Amino acid sequence: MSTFDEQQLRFVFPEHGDAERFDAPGKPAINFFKPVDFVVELSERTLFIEVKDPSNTNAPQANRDDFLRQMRTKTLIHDHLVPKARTSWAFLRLMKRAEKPITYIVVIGADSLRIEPLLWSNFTARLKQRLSQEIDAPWPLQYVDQCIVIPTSDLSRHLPGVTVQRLAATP
Amino acid sequence: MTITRIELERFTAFEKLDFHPSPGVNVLIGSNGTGKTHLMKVAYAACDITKSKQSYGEKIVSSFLPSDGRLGRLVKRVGQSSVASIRITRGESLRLGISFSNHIKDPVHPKVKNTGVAGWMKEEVESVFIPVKEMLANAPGFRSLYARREIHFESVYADIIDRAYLPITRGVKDSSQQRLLTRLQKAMEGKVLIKGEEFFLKNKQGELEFTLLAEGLRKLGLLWLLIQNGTLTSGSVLFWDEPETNLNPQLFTSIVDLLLELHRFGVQIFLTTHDYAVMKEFELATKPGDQVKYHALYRPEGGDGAAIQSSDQAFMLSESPIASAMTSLYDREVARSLRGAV
Repeated sequence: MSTFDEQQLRFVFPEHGDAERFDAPGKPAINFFKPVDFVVELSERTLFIEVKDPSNTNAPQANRDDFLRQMRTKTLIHDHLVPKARTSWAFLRLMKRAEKPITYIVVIGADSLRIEPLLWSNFTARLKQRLSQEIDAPWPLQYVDQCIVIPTSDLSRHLPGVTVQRLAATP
Repeated sequence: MTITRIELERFTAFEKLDFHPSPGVNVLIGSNGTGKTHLMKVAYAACDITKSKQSYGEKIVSSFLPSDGRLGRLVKRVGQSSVASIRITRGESLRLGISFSNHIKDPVHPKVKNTGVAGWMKEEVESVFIPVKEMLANAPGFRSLYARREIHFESVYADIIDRAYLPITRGVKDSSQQRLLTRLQKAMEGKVLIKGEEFFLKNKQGELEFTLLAEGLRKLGLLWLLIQNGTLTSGSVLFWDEPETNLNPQLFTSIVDLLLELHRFGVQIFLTTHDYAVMKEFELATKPGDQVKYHALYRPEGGDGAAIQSSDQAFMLSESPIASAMTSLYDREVARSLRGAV
């Protein structure tokens, strides 16, 4: 098992997946490289996992409000989620590690939000659209095979063996 | 005076139901066959008779059209003999009641027990029932045909056409009515004209007959007429069965805004919906002080007949088929996206 803390969230990945903290200190510092938080190598597939936590009670309220604004506008997808996937993929490709299909999972700490399933689907659709096309035509090479935006509360149900728990707020 | 309570016993889908609606907007959801339209029809029939002076039993028969006009067929069948009862309360104390057995055919038979009729009839209430099928385009000739022949249409269809044909009320409209009319005119880009028995939308291009108009515009046109002729006025009750039918979802925002404006202006509203977007529009457009309630009709497991669950919040109903369908879609999308990752 591999355990990683991403600010207030603790992720535990099962043995069979080779989970790696991708944006940890000590990882290659390359200009314009915006890595996703975790890369998990499975036998047939690579998972990119990016965590966003607007429910982090240690974060200033202004940051949390700003996240919601970014979610409503294009900013979160265009300026953060897509560049992270694209540059992470490019890095793996240069390292000859991007041979398996990629599933991009964006995990949102949504405990403090009230968002219905259909809106997660809508957000996923917007992300998929942008992943496939950032210029005037779709990328001829679609580097992300599947993608999903999912709240932390649903992660274990859909990815058995992976657990996520919120750590107590620091005083 | 608004409808404050609807009690049903052994009536159609219901074994026993005690429903306390909001004086404002009531959004009714539920799977097919849980009795949403029936609930609205019993309340509408009770309102309508205060103006038409028909008996409640007759209005129920013409609204539900049981086979052979037999009132008793509306009794929920349990064993050989069974009695249905309906009680509708307006305000604090006005109460109309009817009960009848499954053996009754004639709605005015002496064995049909009516209660509270005199008091109920004294307080007239304007009411409108907008059925799922839009009727204005088919209105010419329909009224005379309906009056002269036994055609198999529930009376709500003839009623809505009658309401739409009512002449414009005299006098200056108050500012709320005028505001609503202006918004509708903007959304329709025109006004409605009645020539003979035909409806037209009059705009910059000229006069366009309703048969050539998109159904969404006809629905807006109907609301315009009902406000213009004073049917939808403070103190009236609007029943609307699935307003979303044949409507472009982009029009939902205008329709929901208008309904909320009508309720702020004093119209009590009951509507049924199967649509997530309609629920969401209400949730997003509701302002502090608005009185919007969501009601889910459902069949409890092992229960006998439909039950109701109410909430002030659109998505807090555990028995919502809309929420279940959305969750199911989402779960299947997640499962598909994570194929191979599990």
